[in-house]
Amino acid sequence: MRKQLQDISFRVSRYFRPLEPWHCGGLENGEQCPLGPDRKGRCRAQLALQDDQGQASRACRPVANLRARRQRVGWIAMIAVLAVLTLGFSYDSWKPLAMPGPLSVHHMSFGGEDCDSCHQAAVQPKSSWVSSLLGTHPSVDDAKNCIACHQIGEVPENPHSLPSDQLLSLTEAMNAHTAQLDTGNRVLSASLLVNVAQQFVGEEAKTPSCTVCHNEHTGSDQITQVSNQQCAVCHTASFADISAHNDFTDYPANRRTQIVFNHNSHLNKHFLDEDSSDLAPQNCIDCHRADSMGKKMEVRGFDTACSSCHLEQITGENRTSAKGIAMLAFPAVDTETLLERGVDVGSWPADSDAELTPLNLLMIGLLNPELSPQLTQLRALDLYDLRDASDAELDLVYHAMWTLKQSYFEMQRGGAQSMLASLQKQLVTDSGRAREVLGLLSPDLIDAAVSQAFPNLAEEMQQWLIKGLPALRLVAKTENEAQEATAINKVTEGENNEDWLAAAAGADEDDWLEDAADDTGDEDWLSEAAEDDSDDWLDEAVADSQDADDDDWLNEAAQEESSDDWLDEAVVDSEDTTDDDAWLNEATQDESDDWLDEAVAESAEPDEGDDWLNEAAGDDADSLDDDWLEDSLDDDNASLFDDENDIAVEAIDESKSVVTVPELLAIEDRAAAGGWYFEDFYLRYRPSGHADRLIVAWVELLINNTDSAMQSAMMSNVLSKDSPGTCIKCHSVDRQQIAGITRQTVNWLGKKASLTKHGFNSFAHQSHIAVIKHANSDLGVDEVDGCQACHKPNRDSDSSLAYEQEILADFQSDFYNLDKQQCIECHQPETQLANCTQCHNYHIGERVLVGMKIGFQSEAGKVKQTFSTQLE
Amino acid sequence: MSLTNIKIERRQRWDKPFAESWAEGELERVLDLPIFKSMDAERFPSQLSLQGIVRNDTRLVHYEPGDIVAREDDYGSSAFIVVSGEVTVVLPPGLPADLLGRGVVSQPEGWWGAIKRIFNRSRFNETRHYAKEGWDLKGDLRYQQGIARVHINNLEEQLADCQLALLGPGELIGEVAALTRSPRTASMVVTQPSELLEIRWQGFRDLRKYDDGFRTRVDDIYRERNRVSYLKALPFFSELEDNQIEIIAEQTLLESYGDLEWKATRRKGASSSVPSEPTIVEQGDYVDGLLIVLNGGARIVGKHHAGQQTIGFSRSGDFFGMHEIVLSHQGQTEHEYPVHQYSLTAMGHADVLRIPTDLIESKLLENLASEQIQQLIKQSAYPRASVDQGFQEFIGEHQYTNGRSTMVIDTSRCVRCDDCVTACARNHDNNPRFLRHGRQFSNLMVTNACMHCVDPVCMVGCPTGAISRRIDGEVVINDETCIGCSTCATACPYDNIRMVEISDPAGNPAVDAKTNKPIVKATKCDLCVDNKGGPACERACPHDALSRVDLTDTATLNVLLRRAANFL
Amino acid sequence: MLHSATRKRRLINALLLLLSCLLAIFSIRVAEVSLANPNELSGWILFTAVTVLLFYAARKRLSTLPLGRVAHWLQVHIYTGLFCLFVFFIHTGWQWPNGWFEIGLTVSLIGTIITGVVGLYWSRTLPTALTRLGDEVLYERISGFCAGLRNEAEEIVLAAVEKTGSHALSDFYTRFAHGALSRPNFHWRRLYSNYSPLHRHERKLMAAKRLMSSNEATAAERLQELLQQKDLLDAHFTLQGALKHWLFVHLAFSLPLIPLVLLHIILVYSFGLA
Repeated sequence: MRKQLQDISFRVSRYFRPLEPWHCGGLENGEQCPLGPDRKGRCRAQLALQDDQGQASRACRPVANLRARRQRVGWIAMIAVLAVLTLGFSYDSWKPLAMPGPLSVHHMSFGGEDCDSCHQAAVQPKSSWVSSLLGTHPSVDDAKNCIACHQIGEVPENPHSLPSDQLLSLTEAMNAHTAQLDTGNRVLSASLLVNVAQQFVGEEAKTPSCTVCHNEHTGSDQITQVSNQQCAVCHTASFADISAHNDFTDYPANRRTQIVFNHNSHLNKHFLDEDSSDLAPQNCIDCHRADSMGKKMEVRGFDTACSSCHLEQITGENRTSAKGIAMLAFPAVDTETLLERGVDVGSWPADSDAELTPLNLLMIGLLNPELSPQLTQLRALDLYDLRDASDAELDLVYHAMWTLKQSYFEMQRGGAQSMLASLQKQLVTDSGRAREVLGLLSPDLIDAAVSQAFPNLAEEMQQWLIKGLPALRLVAKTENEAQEATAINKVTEGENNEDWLAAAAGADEDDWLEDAADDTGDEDWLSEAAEDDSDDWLDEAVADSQDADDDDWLNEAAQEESSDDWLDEAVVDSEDTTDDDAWLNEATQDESDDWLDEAVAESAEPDEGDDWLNEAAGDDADSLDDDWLEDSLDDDNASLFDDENDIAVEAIDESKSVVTVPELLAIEDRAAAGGWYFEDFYLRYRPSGHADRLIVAWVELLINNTDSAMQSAMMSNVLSKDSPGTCIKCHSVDRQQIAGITRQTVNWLGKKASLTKHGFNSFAHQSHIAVIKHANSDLGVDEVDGCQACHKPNRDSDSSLAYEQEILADFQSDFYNLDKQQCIECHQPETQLANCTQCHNYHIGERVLVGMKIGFQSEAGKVKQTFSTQLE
Repeated sequence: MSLTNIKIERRQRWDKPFAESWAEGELERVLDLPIFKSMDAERFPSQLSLQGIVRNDTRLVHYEPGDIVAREDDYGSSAFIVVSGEVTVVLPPGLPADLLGRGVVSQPEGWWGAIKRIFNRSRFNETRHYAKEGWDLKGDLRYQQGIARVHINNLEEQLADCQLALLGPGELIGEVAALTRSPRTASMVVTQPSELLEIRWQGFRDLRKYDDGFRTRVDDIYRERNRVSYLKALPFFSELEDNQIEIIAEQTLLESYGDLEWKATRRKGASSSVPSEPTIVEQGDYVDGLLIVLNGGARIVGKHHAGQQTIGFSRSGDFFGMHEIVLSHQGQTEHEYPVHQYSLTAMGHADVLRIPTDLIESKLLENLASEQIQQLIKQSAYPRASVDQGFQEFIGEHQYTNGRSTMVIDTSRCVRCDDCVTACARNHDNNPRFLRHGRQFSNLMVTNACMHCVDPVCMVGCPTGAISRRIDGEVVINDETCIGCSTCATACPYDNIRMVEISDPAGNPAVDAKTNKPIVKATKCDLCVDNKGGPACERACPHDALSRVDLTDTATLNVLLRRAANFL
Repeated sequence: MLHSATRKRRLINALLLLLSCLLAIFSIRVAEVSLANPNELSGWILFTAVTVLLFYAARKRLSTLPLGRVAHWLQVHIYTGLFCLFVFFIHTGWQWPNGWFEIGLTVSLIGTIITGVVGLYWSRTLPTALTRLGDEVLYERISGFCAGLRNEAEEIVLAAVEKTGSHALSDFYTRFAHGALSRPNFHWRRLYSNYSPLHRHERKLMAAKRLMSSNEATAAERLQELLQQKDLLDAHFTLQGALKHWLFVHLAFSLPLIPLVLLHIILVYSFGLA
């Protein structure tokens, strides 16, 4: 039997004391001394002996206990680590030390040293780190630095980066919507995780920090992680996976398209015609193209998609009706009736059957604002037959016609820009448009047109200026009219020819007032007239005409009975006193002379102008006018015919030679390239092609004119489908009630995708097109109509109806709404493709990455300059 | 098992006389005392002559007023005969514990105390605050003839409100304790200079054995003073009337078996079989009486094949033979008379009371109700042998049966981290109170930690009563009254008491002012009595390897062994 | 075969561990879904777990307090450690950090847990091996016993040389035995196999014996006994040494964890939980 290792001499063996740092070296052979070592590990027996004898006798080396050694090792390790940390963090470039994980490629440009590009703490004194344990969440401050570069939406920190009020309204809308959802969809509401999570959503979730979804330092480049559940915390009525997604009610189209295009008629009718089939597109992408992000599909534009068939319609080829737009008209007027009724509007082209154009009306309204409220009435009138027109209508016609004449006169004399001034005055909104409307109208054409329409316009003008007096020669029955006419004439003179009025007022007033005072005994009415009325209206006339504020003046003149009274009285008085006439005549005589002298003096006209002026001075105006007109006409015809005859003769003579004289085309065909021309007393404009500047300008000019007459006129004139240009045949007009007034906008362009603007939905067409090209067999479609795999055409629909009414959303698309199942075929719930964020954006609105100085101001005052790139 | 024979000298009686020396003529004076005069010296064997007994086993002790002769609850080991003067017996409730040198039994400390203990832990070993501030004993120590006596000043005041009994010359005192090594029932003090002859229990028993007069006298006193109450305290006997008990008590015999110095036998070479021990009854014999183990320990042995195996162990208060008696009384045995199922042998030493069978049948069983009988049958049934016979033998061989809270470590779980020792030290002011080594059976190690014995021989003969047993049975040493005489350490058969040299809180060794010898104290496991959580060692074991168990409890034993089954 | 109670305990604890892991995952996901910061939550869970781990060491020092059995605390310690490992990977997103500081933190934590697992394995296996050696010795006393054996061996050899004058035994001693007896030897292989160099020495001794006189042979036998005892001592020295020294590494990894974790928390909070 083997000897025991330690004979259990329990009686002698002493306590073993593991708690002590040291134990006696004697223990190791079972005979430790009673004293044992002290805490410093010195043998106390030895010390005692040293005390007694001064030197050590037996050497006992105490042994450190395991426990003590163990603790020592632990503490040394801890202190070593502490020392390393202290050294490392007190070292200047301590930042790599604290780097928690590699940055994503997006932020690689901040090196390991650039912590302060994002982290405030990196430049703060390290002592302040501890306080951040208690203080506010630094991620809030650091988030500012994210926003510094990433400008996201209007309120980046808000959910969906939307302004609170917008968010609120959207939320209400969504709640209202989900209220109708069948609860079967709310699969996720049954998910325990989300239910619990909803209980724990805190205040901070209302302004979630960037780090909630964006985790940097994860070593992966995918720093955005949003789970469907996270969406579901707020969207309580959302669904577990795409299979429970709502069916699409108004997706992809939630409004009528900007460009009016009936896919049905095109695909099923037009493209099948023999003559246009070769022009027809082969498949969808011939007309539609993904935007540069490969997301939204855009229309390729007129030149690519439409022009091959529709250009002619715009330029007006093979149009039966007039191929140009009637811009200005020289209307036919029923002058006989007018004369019978004692209304003289001068001469109007007898053989014209033109009607007033919107531009005419516009001009009348501009020149004579008094008439603008009555333009509708005017437009309703048939100027060619005024037999049963009322006095008021006649009065309107009378003034309108004269105003129109005057406008033509001014255009003839001053060119189109004379009209521009007044046009621009009213249409402050877009003066450039007015310029584009009339800018191209050449003075020659105006002159020619006006001269042809009103051969004696100039003489008429001067006559008209003196006119009004002859009206008084009418029978008494018609005196009133005459008187009124006179009065109004004076008025019109007053507004139209200030010089004359001023002269007249200044020259005669005093004289005839004084004479009147001398001749007649009682001065009552005169004094009255002088004090009350004549002074007043004259002064006002002068004053008003000076600051050119016509309306006020007119209103007063019209309303003040006093003037009428005065007129009556004047008439009454004029009956018993004969010498009144006399002085009146003199007065007029003098006037005419004065006017003539002035006219002569100031005339800087060419010779013929002089001639007819001189002649006018001597002879009878009417006869002279006729002769002049006839002569001019004769000359024209003669020369014209001669030329024709000669050419014809030559043609016959040299018939054997193959020289064919190009026949004289109709004038509108001569303007086929686009431009102005005069025909049938219309100044017409023919569009030069798609997006003609004048047409566009004209449409823009008229479209938001609030005047109902203008609008209706405009509709017939340009905006009717069959009017030349036919803009709105394809370009839909959106009417929106904005602040009570209807704003109209013409959609000149199809829907365009914005690279920086993000809505709630995002669909990557490009990648899907790629998928179709590869896996069309799976989808059971061939490449040509691959799009139709999702966009199923609705052959019964008539999208054109949508453009009759005003509500944009109320429409019938040429295609059925997308079928959810179509998506699910590929976007299986278990795949990443089925995440909410696959089709929906979180950050709504403008998303721009701006380069700028970021980084926090360090104590040293240095600002870290980081990369700077501008992404538009 | 690598146990081995350790060959040592057999201890001889009277190697060490009780009295250092006898003054001239004193021995004669003592022998002239009437009590010895009346004895017939012829009846004593030559090697155990009366004179020899008196010379070697007695001593004459002089007491000064205020001296304590014996303390209540002490495990007495000797009787006294008043030679001159007078002894005052303080009847219950008796003197306060601290006056008697006992530790004040305090409630386990609360959290606050425990926390304080962590921070007040001294930095040195075995420091004692009183080593600096001096003793705070109620009495003071007085050495006489090299024996320490605790002396109570102003004794009169202390005795003022106590019931007293006075015993004059010739009176025999403390014989019950000497006879049965049971705790003393009352304290005895001396109010006037007196002489007492102290007879140590070995000699006392010899006197009783060889002198009939003395025996009858002692037994009479024992009976009237003690046995009746002892029997009455036993289960089922409490049913009987006093006169019945007295009748039984009269015929009850006190027998003593085994070697008095039984510790020597323990060192005898062990073997896997049951060692030869003095047999009390033989298996198959007629049950002539019910045996009640008074003190010491007995082993229940059954024949098994050629050899014997230990069935179980009997400790003081246990019945033996009751099962057979009841069964035969119920007529459930094949013989018409009861026959012992097993043998009973004294483990080292055992005192047993023998009550004749007919008395049990007539007096006890007749007076018990049938359900009580059934109960008795159940309770007196013999334990089934433990799951591991070898371990059973191991326990018996080393007398671990005596322990109530023996520390057993499963070495197949113990990672030798010494956390138990550390925890112990932390609970005892930086001082461990046990050693993590000890005898081992297979993977079970019985360590050198106080087992808090049922029969705490260590308590015998503590001069100052510093070592005492709590009501719950924990044996504790009152450090302040311990005089470092190492009586207990020597007495402990398991070497679980350590003498340590103390120092003051500064760590300076404390030495006796006169002799300049280091002052030592007896230390041992106190089962963390003043700790709420119980023994720290057991709680501190991270791997459930250490447990404090009563090894005679077969149930716990089996748990231990089964848990170790993956090793065994 | 395991004690049934042990099996039950392991089952229950494993279930608890699983449960708490699931709970942790769930709560972290909740934090993530409720738009809070999941890493913040997992971080604090981890911190709490690590603190619980520290409690174990504290409990050992507070043995005076009635804080229950350390055995139970150890169970908590073990399973919390595994829990830590789990939560740690969730916290880091199964990604290895590239910053020196973070690397240090990771190494410290992982190292702590790994050494813990190793220690646990040894604590479960080595005690049995130790017990099978059949004899106990206090680790601190081993070197002493070794010295004793060596001295005894030298005496024997010297005596033999003096008595016989032959050098067969002394040669053997100086060539093989001396190295084996000089100091306690730590053999790694003993930790995972029942390796022992003893039989090699014995074979050599047998070989040497043939050249010896009877006196030398008896001395040789005694020497063989010593070698056997030394082998036993080496076994104890190795196994107990392993049991006592793995804690060194465990501590060396775990104590630095405290400053690292604290600094980590400070950094993370001041740098905005990025």
